[in-house]
This record gives sequence, C-alpha cells and structure tokens, in this order.
Amino acid sequence: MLEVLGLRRVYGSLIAVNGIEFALQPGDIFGFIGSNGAGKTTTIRMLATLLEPTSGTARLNGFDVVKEPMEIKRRIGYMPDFFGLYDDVKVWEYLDFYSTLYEVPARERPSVIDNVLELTDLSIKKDSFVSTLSRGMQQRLCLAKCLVHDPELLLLDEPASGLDPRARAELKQLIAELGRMGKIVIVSSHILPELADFCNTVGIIERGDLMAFGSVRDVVKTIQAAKVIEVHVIEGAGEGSMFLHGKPFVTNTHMLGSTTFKVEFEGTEQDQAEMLKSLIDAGFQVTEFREESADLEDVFLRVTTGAVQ
Amino acid sequence: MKGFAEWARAQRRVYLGNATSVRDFRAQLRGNRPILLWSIYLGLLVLFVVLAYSNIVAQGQQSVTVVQVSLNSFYKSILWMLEVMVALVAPVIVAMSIQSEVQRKSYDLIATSPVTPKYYLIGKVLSGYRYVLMLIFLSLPVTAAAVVLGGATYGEVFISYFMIAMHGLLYIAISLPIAVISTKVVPAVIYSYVACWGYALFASVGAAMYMSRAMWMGGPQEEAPFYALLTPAMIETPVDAHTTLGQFSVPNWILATAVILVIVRFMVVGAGSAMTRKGSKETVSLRIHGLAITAVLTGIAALSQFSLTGTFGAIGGSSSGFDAQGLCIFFTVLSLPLIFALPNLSTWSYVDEHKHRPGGMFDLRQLFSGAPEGGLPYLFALLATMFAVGSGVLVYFGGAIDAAGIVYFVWLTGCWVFVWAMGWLASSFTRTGAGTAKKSHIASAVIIGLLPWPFLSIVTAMSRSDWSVVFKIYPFAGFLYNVSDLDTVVLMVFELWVAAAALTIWAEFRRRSVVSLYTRALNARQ
Repeated sequence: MLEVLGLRRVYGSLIAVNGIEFALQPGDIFGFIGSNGAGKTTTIRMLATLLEPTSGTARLNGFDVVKEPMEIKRRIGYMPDFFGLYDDVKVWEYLDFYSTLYEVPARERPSVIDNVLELTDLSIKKDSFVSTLSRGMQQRLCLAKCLVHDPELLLLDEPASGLDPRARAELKQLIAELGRMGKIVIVSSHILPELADFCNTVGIIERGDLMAFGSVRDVVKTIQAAKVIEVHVIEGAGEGSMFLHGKPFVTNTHMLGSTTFKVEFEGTEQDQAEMLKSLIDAGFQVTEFREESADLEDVFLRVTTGAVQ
Repeated sequence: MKGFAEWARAQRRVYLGNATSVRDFRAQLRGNRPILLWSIYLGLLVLFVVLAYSNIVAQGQQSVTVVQVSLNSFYKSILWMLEVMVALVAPVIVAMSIQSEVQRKSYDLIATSPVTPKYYLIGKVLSGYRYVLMLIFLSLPVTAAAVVLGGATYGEVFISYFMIAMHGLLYIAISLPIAVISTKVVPAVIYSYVACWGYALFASVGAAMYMSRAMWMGGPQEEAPFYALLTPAMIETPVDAHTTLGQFSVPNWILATAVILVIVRFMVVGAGSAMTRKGSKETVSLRIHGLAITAVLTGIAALSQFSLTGTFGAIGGSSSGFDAQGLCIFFTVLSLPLIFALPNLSTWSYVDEHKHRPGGMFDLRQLFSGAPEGGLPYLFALLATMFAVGSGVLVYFGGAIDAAGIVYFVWLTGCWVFVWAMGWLASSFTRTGAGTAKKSHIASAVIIGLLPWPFLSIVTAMSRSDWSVVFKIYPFAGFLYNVSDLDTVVLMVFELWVAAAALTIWAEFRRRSVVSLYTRALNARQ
C-alpha cells in the first residue's frame, strides 16, 4: 500500500507541491493528470527518493520515503519522462547492469532478464545494441529495467510521450498487465483518454494542489452536479421537452432538434427509469434514452484553470 | 561476526564485480576505437625510444660515465612522458564518465536504484583507474629497454611506476568531487584539469621551496622528504629514500602512498556527500574524515618540518629555537586549503535542496550534519584540531606556546571567520541556489583577498618598513608577509574581528530578512 502523507515541496517562495495526500492499493493504476509545471514530476521524483520533501512523507508498505530511502529504492521502479540509455552496450548487458545494482542473485539474472524481455516483448532484441532500438523499444527497455527486481510500485512519468499509436497501445496493454500482477502503478500523462482506458484511479494536480482524486467514475461524478440525459424520439421533441419540464428531479430541458432533446436530471437511477416510463406512457416514441457522461478531459478542463507556477 | 560478514559482503560488492565498473569496462574496450588509440599511444612511445636511442648512438664513442648519464636521462624522460600522459588522461576520464551520465540523463535511473554513492563512485574510480593502469603497463616494454641498456635498475622502475600509478589515482580522486558538483561535461573536464594541474604545480613548487629552505636552514640532508613523492617533480626517486619518524625509518613511497590513499578516501567521501542529503552517513563521514585528516596532515607536516629543520622558526624566518611566529605561519600555510572548503561551509539557499536551508547561523548540534548552521562550528573545529595537534607536536619537542603564538592564532581564526561571513552574506544576495552562492562567495573572496595585493605592493615597493603601515590598515596582510611586531598583530586581530563580527551580523540580518520574505510569500500563497 502506498500512502502519500502531506507531501510538500517548496523552492523559495514557490510551492511546487502543496501537501498532497492520497493512498493506493496493490493493483491500482493511478493516472496522474496535470498541466506542465503543475507538480506531477516533482511528486513522482519525491516518491522516487530523488527529491527530498520540504515536509510530509510517503510510505510504501510501511517504509518511509524520507527516513528509509534505500528500502524504498529496493521496492520501486522509476521511469523518468526523459531518460538516456547506454548506447554502447547490448540489451542484455543493460539489464544485467541493473540486475546487479538491484542485487538480483547472479544465478537468477539470466532467467530474470529473459522474463522481463519476454514481458516487454524485446526477447528478439536481446543481443542487439541499445543504440539500434527504436524509441518505442527503448521505452520498453526502460520499463524492463524497472521490472528486473519485481518492484511493488512503478513510477512512470509520461511513459507514452514520443511514441507512435501502435507503441502506445502496446505500452498501455503492458501497464494494464502490470496492474493485474498486483503492482501499484503511477502513470503521469497528458493524453487523458488513454489514461481513462486503463487507470482505475486518477488524480488531478494543479499548481501543486491535488484538485481531485478517486476512481475515474467518482471523479467524473464530482464535477457533474446533475446528470444530462439525451432523449431521441421519432417526432415531437418539443412536446417531450415541455412534458418533462417541471417534473420531479428535472432541473432543465433543452431542445436539440426536432427529434432530440436534453434533460438535466438530479434523481436516482430508479427516478430515471420512472421518467422514461412516464414518457412512454405519455405516447412519446422513444428511440434512444442515454445518460451523457463527462470524460476525464471534461473533468480536467473543469477542475483546472490552466494556471502554471 | 555477523556484522563483519555483512561488512565483508558489502566491500566485496563495492570493489569486486562493481556493476558500474563492469559496464564502463565493456564500453571502454568495445569496437575499433580503443585498439586505434592504444596503437597510436604505443607507436608514439616506440618512436620516442628510437629517436632518443639514435641520438645517444649518433654521438659516437663516449665514456661509460657519459653513456650512463645519457641513458639515465633517457629513462627519466620516459617517466616524465608517462606522468604527463597520466595527468592528461586521468582527470578527464572520470569527469567525462560521470558528467556524460548526468547529461545523458541515465544518472537518475542509477540514483533510484539501491546503491550507495560509495558504490557508484568507486565503480567510476575503478573503471577510470583501469584505463590509466593500461596506459602505464603498455609502456613497460619501453622502460624495460632503459633498464636493459643500463639507464635504471628494476627497483627504481618499480618504485617510479608505482608512484606514477598512485599519481593517476590521485588525479582521478581530485576530479571526482568536481565531476559530481559540475553541471556540464566541458566545465567538469576543465575544472578537473585546473584542479589536478594546479595541485601538481602547487605541490611541486611548494615541496621544492620547503626543501630548499630546509636545506638552507641546515636541516638533515641525508633524507629526502616523503611529500616530494606526492608531486610529479620527483617521480624518479631513489629506492632507498626514507623519512625518520620518531625512532622509525619509513620508506618514502609507503608514506606517500598512505597520504595519497587518505586523500583518495577523503575525495570519495566528499563526492559522496555532495550526492546525498543533509545528515547522511556520507556527510557525517566526510566531516569526521575532515577533522581526522586535518589532525594527521598537521601532525605529519609538523613532524616532518621538525625532523627536516629541527625548528619551527625556519618558516618564520628565524634560524633558532621554537618560534611562535614561525609556528603560526606554519598554521597559516596549513589552513590555506580551507579556501576550497569554505564555499561549502558558508553558503546557504532556500530555493534548492533541503540540505542547503539553514535553521539558524550557529548550531553546534549540526557540526557533522552538513547543515549550513553547522558550517561555522565545523570551521572552528578544523582550526582547533590544527592548533591542538600542531601545538602538541611543538610541546612534545620541548617548545611552548607563548602569548604571541596565541594572538597570531586568534588572527588566523578571525581571517577565516571573515571569509566565512562573506559566504553567508553572498548567499543572501543570490536567489538561484547554493551553486550561485558558492560562485559569488569565491568571486568576492578573490576580490577582497587578492585585489589589494598588487596595489599594496606598488605602494610599499615591498619594503618591510613601509609594510608596517599597511599591516595596521589591512588585517589580511599577515597572510603574505611575516609580521614580527606583536603590537601590530594585536591591532590586526582587533580590526579583523571587528570587521568579521560586523560582516557576520549584517549577513545574518540579511538571512533573516530573506526568511521573512519567503515566509510571507508562502503564507500569502496558502
């Protein structure tokens, strides 16, 4: 379990991260969303022990980031937004280097290297020089490096940046697989729809403050005070709109055309079903009745102002 | 027993099969480039030998003595060439290796893996040193020619090669902290060269001056001082050169090696401290090592000075007895390396790493933590150690510290407190981090410390009587010119401490205003 407890980082009069708090369970894939300069990378670097928090701390399975950095390092895999690989070594040598750093027993190293190469689909490149790998393969090699010691927490800072759509899709699958393996994965990204696909938890950070945190569904709900239901009828959208106006839990209605109208609704799912029933009972021929859901991008734009520090 | 086994395991991990060193080794010897470089190097060596030997042969029939001298010169020139090669290669190899790692952005990946700074730095030292050793070993056939032809004995070759190898290690160690604190490859390489060559130049000139003065004072001449071996100037040392320490006659190469290893250890710990947080094991170790090394070097220098000249008065200009002024000039010279430590002891910043944030101005509890408020106590501790050990040696040999000696030492302490206060003040004017504060400190120390000298020298025409006026108005004058008049020294002490106190109060006032500024800004943000 990862507990982030009032993590704060100050540079002079600038607060880069302002006492953020959240907790993640094994298997959680946490999408960390924020504009450039919002504090994502600073937070991740503090969790990776690269930066010392001004105050606050984080605990990974009981080990403190500030007090026990070495124990934390043994339990995390960190992939920065910009990283360099050693061009002049072979893929297996690169992984062998990190296996040694992570104290993987010498006897187990060959099999560990084979396993992570297989997981990241790089087995075929085992004897190639790192310099010959494509950008996507290098990203995967860095991810493979993060996995040689079977970490409990993975910190992936913008892992999909600079990748083509196919490489992105493959990376997404890989991260989802890591989540299924029971690892806590923190992924920061700008590509919000992608995060929504495989993250079960998201956090939105702006100017160092954590503006929203929770499951994707919960976060979306927090910005939608009222549900918006789009109703399609064969004819008489105006009448339908008038019919529902003023009904219980209906706060407003809008005409969208001769066959479509929108209803702003505050009731429960049961009330929603009742409303549909009343429409049909009133003789309206309903062809479509669906709740419009906001996506992460809507949430992000609503919650943040785009201000940077 | 379990503790020892763990320690042995950790040491084995660091020194044998160090991943950093293995990785560098793989890359160093890969491809055609190393073969090409080594071939060019060997080609140059062989060309040099052929030319030198042809030159000797071309002179026709010569007496055995003349040939012997020529061959010995030939041997010395090989050693010199080798020393120059080592001085060229060693500093750059580690500086480039560490900085290219930072520039390539692969260092963060290592920093998040469970390795200590010591592991990483020793790995870099091993890989760099292996390169230097290859350079040295490849020249062995050429030097063997000098032995076969009669220019040197195998014993001399062994000692000289060993010392060149130790110099290589020393150059690597000196460039280590520079590489760690630099932010780019080119400055790291340039500063490493400046530091290594500066060291070589300063140490050679210093050793030569020290020895010549000792000889002039009539000190024991049958012994060569061991510290000469720490300089590139004395690589062709006689095999039997030794130093008498108390009742023991210790071969110079052993003493020189011991000192080099201590310096290497100090540099590794220093570089490690720069890589870690406030109060880290490395920082505490660095501070303790700093005190221990100060004590050891002061002791060795004092013993060596005494065994060489039979007096401390020699450095003070007097030729007899224990001279307090001489002792204090001895301390002044010994304390000069503090100029490299003070930027780290006196600067602070609220905009970057936590370890640079002061929690006050003076806190004895932070003596070893590396916190800025522990800087001044640590400066006092260094000077006190120096004074205690130096005086101890003096007293051991039957001398005594008189009032003049104490006053002189108070002056010396005041000088360094003044320089410390300059750093504390410089930090309050910089808003971009401790690195900038350090640069500002060095610049201001150079301006205030050095700039008046040319002016004062012209005004006084270096005449001792004219200088006495300068001493009364320029309290740093004692650094360059021996002040023998106790009243003048007392006046200098008074001026200096008033100036140091005023500067310290101003600097601390500025720091507090910076703290209050930031606090207000942060409160407003909240």
